[in-house]
Amino acid sequence: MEEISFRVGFVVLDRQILDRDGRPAGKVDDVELTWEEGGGPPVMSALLTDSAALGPRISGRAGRIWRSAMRRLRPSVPEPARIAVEDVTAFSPSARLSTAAPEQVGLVEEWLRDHLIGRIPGARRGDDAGE
Amino acid sequence: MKRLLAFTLGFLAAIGGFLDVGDLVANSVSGARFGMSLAWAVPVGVVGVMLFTEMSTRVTVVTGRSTFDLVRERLGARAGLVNLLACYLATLLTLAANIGGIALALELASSLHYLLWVPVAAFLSWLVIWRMPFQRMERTYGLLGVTLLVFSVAVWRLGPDWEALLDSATSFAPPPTEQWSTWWFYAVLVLGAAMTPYTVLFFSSSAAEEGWTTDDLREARTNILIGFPFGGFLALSIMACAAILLHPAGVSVHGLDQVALPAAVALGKVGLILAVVGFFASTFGASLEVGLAAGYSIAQYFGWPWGKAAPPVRAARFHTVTLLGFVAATALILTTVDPIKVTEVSVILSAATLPLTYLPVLVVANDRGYLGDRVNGRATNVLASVYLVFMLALALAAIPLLILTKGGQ
Repeated sequence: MEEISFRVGFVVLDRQILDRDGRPAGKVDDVELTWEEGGGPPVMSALLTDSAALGPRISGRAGRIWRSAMRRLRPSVPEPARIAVEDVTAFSPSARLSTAAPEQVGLVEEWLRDHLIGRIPGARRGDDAGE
Repeated sequence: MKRLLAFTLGFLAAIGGFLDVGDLVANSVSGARFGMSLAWAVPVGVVGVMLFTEMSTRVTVVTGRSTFDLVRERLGARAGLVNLLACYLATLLTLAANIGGIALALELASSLHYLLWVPVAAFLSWLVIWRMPFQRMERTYGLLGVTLLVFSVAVWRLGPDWEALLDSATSFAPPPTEQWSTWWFYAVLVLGAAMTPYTVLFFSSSAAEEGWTTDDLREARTNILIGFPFGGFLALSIMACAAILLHPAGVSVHGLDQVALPAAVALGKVGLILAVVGFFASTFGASLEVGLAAGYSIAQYFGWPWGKAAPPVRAARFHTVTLLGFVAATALILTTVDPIKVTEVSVILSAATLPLTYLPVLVVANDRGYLGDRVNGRATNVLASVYLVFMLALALAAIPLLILTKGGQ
């Protein structure tokens, strides 16, 4: 893998993720670092997103409240969504992916679409239809 | 011709869109209590909100990024979240205040108790967000809000002693019977009502969503430069009406009926009708903007799809959050708290949270990495820095003054 160095905190973290079609797919909530065998500095191997990744980054009481709320709300998915660094075509100003976003990213969105928003009349009509 | 029409509509909408229940209450209350001695706060607030809106719109047009997207990126996850929660709370209270304002305007029009109108007001605003296209929504309520010009006509018809009015406006001190701390509290109220963060958030989010180009930016600038001062002129007219009629009579403002009183005295039934239409339009228009702004801020922080133009199924989380915001704000007003008090507290909280969005926008507006050669010019920066200090002082003073004066009593 090609090795480039930059400041992760500045260039990667907290940036908007856009999938292959330019649709927003969350924020870069954290990154995964991997130590290669034989030592050397760690290499960024994946972007992490989703509420499960955001909690640990928020320290103090606010972070604890966030984490326990997340555990209660969705006990089945404790792992953050992982996007391999190879799938990222650009980091800045937004993290652009060459693939679709991981399925897990859209779970809440889809649930709300199917169970709440999609059931309200007119949910499938955009602004331009009336113009 | 079409362009001229679009321009006229745009800036008329900016006039009406400038005012919300906060401006109506703050300007009328302070006119009734302090004469014109707080008139200076209106132009100071108008210049501040023009500066802030222009900067954040320029940042959005050049970078294509929305305000809370940048707030998160510049401040990081934790400080960004604290910022988001504070701003969201202020926005939600502002939404509650404006829903209360719509209901009070409908009470004036119908004599039915305002609490009966609260659910109707909230449902109608949400429905307009759900179904009505963006531009038509902004323009309809902005244009209707121009009926508030009735207050400017009323000032002239009341035939005031202009010299005394000017004397009061240039005194920079409370009337002898009032305390300095209360005077300052109402100064923060008038300033905070003019410089509401949701206006900026709404404006720049529209720019991001509609993909404004530099041409649109020029048009937006003209709207801001002409529309906002005209809005300030309306705010001053409301204050002057109260100063001329209510101040000498010792009437204090407890509801929108007292705000409307000078228009009714000066112009009779027509004056009252126009004032009530103006109240309805400005609070209704504001509740649309605030409701959307609340949803925008959360969706932008978490990086969800958001927007008003696309079908709601394509932004389910955003529309859920927006809907929940309306439910929470309605519930708050239905607890029978005084909507005028909610308005005052919401304006004070807006003032206290103003630097939280102003500072990141100012930093980005000076960053060549984001804006290239569209960064702030020297003159803008001098003015923007003065306002930064001023807004910080305002934010620090807002809540202590609220407690110290017990809400201006």
